[in-house]
Amino acid sequence: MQGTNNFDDLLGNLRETEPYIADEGFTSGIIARLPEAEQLPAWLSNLILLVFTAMGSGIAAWQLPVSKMVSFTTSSITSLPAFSSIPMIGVGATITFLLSYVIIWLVHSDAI
Amino acid sequence: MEIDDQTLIERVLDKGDEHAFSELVKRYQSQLRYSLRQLTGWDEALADDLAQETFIKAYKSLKQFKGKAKFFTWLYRIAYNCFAAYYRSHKAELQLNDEDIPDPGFNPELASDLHRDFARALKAFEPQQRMALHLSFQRQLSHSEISEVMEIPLGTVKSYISRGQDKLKQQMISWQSGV
Repeated sequence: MQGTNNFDDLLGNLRETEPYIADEGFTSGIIARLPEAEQLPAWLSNLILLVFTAMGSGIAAWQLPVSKMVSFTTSSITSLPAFSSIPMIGVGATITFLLSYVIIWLVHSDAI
Repeated sequence: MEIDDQTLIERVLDKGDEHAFSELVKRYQSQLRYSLRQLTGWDEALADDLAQETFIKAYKSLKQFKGKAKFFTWLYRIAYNCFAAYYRSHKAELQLNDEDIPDPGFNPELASDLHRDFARALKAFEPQQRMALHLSFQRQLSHSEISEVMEIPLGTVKSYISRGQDKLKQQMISWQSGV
């Protein structure tokens, strides 16, 4: 049985002295090689977005009295003193576009 | 407080959280790399390549991890498959290299030599038996756990270990008198 005890001691020694292998860039090497999460191609995601937007707009136009709303909005805007002139409408539209652009840019740049 | 493996796995699966996966790699890299060094006759470069392949495969198939076994046990199954596949595809080349290996000297003063010598002694066995011996002697897995990791019958595991133990004792005889 001496041989068995010695072998058991040897195995015990082997387990107790197992060295810790320092990472030294091993983990970062693996993370760098990980496959990217599967994403739809840009053209397909744009197409899906376009189709659903068109469907949503179609349903909204079908359900709502669009012509009445447009004529009401137009008459309301033109009756306002500040928007009675064409240049003022142009300025308002420009500000709206600029604000929209800034918001879209902020969203795409992950700033918000 | 350390976050448990299952929570980290869920973060990877739900949010694609690479940081959570890197925590898992950091947690097990040393043990897995050590095991693969043992299995490859202490070929550090090969062992690290296989460990890297193991973690990447684990990441890709993480959805298949059901949480029934420990994550580490599941990782070993992948590691064993990578190791076995490597040996299948490089069998002829490895047999030639083995013939060229000089008889390794040893120095009982240095613990690291014990690890290297044990790894070299394991090289005398076929990869499947080598893995079974390593999991039993180094990782102290039960025979049924080894059977589960390696997906081989329990009887085969028992046979591998009982026969392998006698041969290993002979090969490590110098160390046993030194222990």
